[in-house]
Formats: sequence, structure tokens, C-alpha cells
Amino acid sequence: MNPFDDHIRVTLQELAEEAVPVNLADQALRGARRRRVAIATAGAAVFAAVGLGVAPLALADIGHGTNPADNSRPPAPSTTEYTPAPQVPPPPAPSPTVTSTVAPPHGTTPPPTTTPPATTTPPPPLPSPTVWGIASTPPPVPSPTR
Amino acid sequence: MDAAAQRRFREFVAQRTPALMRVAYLLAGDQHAAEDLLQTALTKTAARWRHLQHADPEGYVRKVMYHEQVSWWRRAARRRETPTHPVPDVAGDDPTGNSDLRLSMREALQRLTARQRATLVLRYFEDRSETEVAALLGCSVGTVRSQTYRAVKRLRALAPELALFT
Repeated sequence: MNPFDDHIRVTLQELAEEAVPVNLADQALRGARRRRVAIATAGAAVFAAVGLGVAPLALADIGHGTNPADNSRPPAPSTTEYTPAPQVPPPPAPSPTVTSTVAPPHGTTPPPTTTPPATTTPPPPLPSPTVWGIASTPPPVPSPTR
Repeated sequence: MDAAAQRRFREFVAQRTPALMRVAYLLAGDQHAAEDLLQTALTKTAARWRHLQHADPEGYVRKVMYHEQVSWWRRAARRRETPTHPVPDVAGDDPTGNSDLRLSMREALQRLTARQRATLVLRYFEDRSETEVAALLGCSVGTVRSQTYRAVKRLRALAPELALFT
């Protein structure tokens, strides 16, 4: 054996003799009791925190319906209630057509207006063709009985 | 814990405290830290006394002490205790020379790491084999060998007067 190792061993034993024995049984028992209470309190606090966090979500889920699968589905779009345009006809906007400024040549029908045809609202009333002095219907034929 | 179990626990503590306190003193380095370390180990033992009283409670206490000593959390907690005044008693000259060597060894032990000190105590004070030390500290035999080698080397460097014994 190395003499240095022997010296370490002897010195450690001499050092250990300096320790003063103190009976720590009471402190250990009190500490164990405190530790048990602390663990139980922490467990109860965690349980309460989890319960307070989960309970409102569960109640809200119950309040929406009994079948959670129906609640998870997004609502289907309603086609009957949707009205793409108001029933009231929009105010007649001035149409950027050339009919207001340039008279069409005789014998031709006026050009259609530029209002979009996709709307369900009735188109604004077109100006009567008589405005331009052209009869859209032929003149009445005299009855052959006369 | 019922009254009978408490009585048995008190008997065990009263009977084994001197030996356990010596180990705690070597591991911790001073009396107060040793009492703190031993009390922590006994508290954990008391919490599991129902299962340990018929097994090996002393082995459990020692194992808890070794693990607590090298525990990072415990060292971090103790590091916050900063001494603000110098130690009042200063060692004087010793005509025999033996106390000087002991004080040098104590100071050198204090400057080892916790794991190195635990390895030295287990190997040289408790005369445990390398395999037993590895099992107690939860490391490999190679780690025990390297820790022992480094601890002895550091002791030689920190306390040159101990080198006279080589």
C-alpha cells in the first residue's frame, strides 16, 4: 500500500473523530411530517388549478350541445337567407352611355345600357324608343273590312 | 408513522448517529453542514421508514448522504450562504506537528469537488471497493478510478507537506 494512501486514511479517521454526535431524530420526524404536508398541499393545489382550468371548458362544451361532433362541424352556408342585392332598386345612376349625348342614326335600335346583367334587381327603365321619334312597333294595318 | 415505528426510528438514530455523523462530517467539511446533511438524509429516511425499517436503513441513509453531497441542487442552495466574517479561531503552531497535517488535509479536502471528496471518503475511510463505490454513487468503475486518481493528485498539489509521506 502506498504510504500516501495510508496517510490519507489515518488523517480522514482523525478528522472524523472531530464530529460531534447530535441526535437529530426529532428534527427528522418533524421534517418528514412537514414534507408530507407540503407534498399533499402542493398536490391539492395542482388538482384545484387543473380543475378550475378544465371545468369552464367542459361546461361550455356541454352548453353547446350533447353531440360534440355536431359542434365541431362549421355551419353550412345558408342559401335561402342570403340576398345578394337589396330588393329596393338602386337609385338610377347616370349611365355613361352615349345615348344621352349622341342620337343614334335613324332605323337603328338604341344600344343597350352598361348595367350589369347579373343582378336580380330589375334593370332601370330604359328610355322609351319614342323619345328618338322611332316607333318600335309597326303602325296598325287598316282592317280589310273597311 | 405510528408510535411503535417512531420509537424504532428514534432507537436507530440514537444508535447509529455517531458513525453517520463522522461520514457526514467528512463529506460536508464542518459541523453545521454535517448536521444539515445528516438531517436531510434522516428526514428522507423517516418518510420511507415503513419500507426501510425491515431492510437496511443505515445503507439508505448513507446513500442519501452521498447523493445529496454531489447533488447540484444542494450545492447551489449552499452556495448562497456566504460567510461575511472570518472564522474567529485561528490554528496556532502545534509542537507535535500532527495537527498541522490534519488541518492541511482538511483544507485540501475542502477544495476538492464534492464528488472527489465523496469518492475519497468511500475508498479510504469506509474501505469500500471500487465496485461498491460505483454502485453507491451511481457511476461506472472507471469514473471511480479517475475520480480517485484526480483527488489524490489534487491533494498532493494542495498540501505539499503531505508529499513527505510518499
